[in-house]
Amino acid sequence: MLQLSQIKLLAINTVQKELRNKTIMFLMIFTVMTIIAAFAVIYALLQNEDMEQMAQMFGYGISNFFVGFLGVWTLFISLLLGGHLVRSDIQENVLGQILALPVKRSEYLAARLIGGWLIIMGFYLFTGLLIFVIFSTVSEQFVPVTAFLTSLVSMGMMVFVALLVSVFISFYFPGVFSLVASVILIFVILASNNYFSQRDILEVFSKGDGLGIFFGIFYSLFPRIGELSRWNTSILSNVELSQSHLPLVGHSLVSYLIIFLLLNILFKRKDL
Amino acid sequence: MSVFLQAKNVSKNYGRHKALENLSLSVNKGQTYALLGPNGAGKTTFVKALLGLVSYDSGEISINGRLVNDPQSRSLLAYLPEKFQFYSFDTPQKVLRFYARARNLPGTQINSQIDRALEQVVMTDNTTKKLSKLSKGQMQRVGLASLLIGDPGLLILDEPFSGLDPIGIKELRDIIRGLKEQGKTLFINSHILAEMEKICDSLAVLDNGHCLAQGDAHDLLNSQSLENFFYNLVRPENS
Repeated sequence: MLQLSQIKLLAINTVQKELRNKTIMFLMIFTVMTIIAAFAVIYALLQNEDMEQMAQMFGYGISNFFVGFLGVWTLFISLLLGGHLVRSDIQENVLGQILALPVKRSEYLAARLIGGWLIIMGFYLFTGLLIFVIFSTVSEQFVPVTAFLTSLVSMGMMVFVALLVSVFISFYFPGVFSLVASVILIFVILASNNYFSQRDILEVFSKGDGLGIFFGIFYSLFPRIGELSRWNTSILSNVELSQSHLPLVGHSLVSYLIIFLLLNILFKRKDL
Repeated sequence: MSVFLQAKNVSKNYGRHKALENLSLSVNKGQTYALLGPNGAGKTTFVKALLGLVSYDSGEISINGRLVNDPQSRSLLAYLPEKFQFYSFDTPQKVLRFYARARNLPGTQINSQIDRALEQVVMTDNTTKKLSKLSKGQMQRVGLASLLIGDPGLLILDEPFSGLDPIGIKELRDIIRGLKEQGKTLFINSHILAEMEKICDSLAVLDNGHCLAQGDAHDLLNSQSLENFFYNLVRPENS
């Protein structure tokens, strides 16, 4: 059984450690500054009336554009952070000392993922709310943030996929190679989601199509980040959801569990 | 005396290289045990196997009857690596607090144990300085203090004298003697033979993963120096 006290201790340690990660902090602060600057430029270019008019014309389109961009950027930062979570402990020779304590490897791994997830979601929430606050202020229109807050569920699931993938890859590749390999894997997952958006997986497997089988493996094994992204977009756009997303959530949860167990087996077998 | 640490026929291969081959040894409670050997003998591999950091291919290692595959076996021991490192932004106080929490110490005991450990390793100043501002000797003292948190029965020290100046060596030797007087079981992996001769009760000599000799230090040395004993064992063709 996993000890919650150990996971809590190590998750707090992860947050403390990664909040001092200069690359991640630079990217996060840079993002916030860029968003503020972008709004300042828009505000300076347009008259206040135009801004109000624009808000009326596009509804929440402008703020949603920023939030959409923020989502993609957040996933990129997640991949970068995930590559650092465990790898840095190995490189700094701290991992051996931590695991010489009565800490299970699965507790360590879970805590690193949870700590990383909390940092990324904190950043996403703060930056997303900042966009809405700035937009509301410059357009003098109150923008409801309910859709954004609802989207935290689907965004949180996507961030977790990105962290799992990058931690997994960081076991085998260092630094930039890890990031590149993680980005490639995420693209393959997205491509597999796209491939099966209009095809039936059983039909593809029965035909024995090579590319289809290749994508089918990724589509079945990994959380469907493409479908989660579409779900996220529809939430943010206030589009009426035509179908239940419970199967998607269910598949993702099972998939997280399988990947985490696989990651844990590999980590347990790793000589340090 | 009861056996506290026992290894039976432990073997470990890295590809074709045999790091440990049928290594068996036992350490009694309260003993200071030296694991000696030249570089590449398999000492570090054995210590890592003991800590569960590397898996072994066959045999078994137990601490107080509990197999080291069980993470709870690590609640019985504390480990000081050759070069103690932790996050540079932390202070000695924070590092020791982390160790105390990880060893599941009750909150009421944490502060008193930290103060006592720091006092024992003679480090009552600089306890709120960042680790990045500490000298190598001070870092090693923080590591030593971490050994004492939670009062574990078995202390594993990996090359503790390595890189220390003569004053540091003497101070460390005194600390180790103090721990021994408290009844701690010490397992020290080292190649600083002169120091080990002064503090160990029992020893084992490893070479190429094989145990060449082990037992009570007094019986094994039989009035010769540890250096001569070691050299004759490891390089018999030159003796």
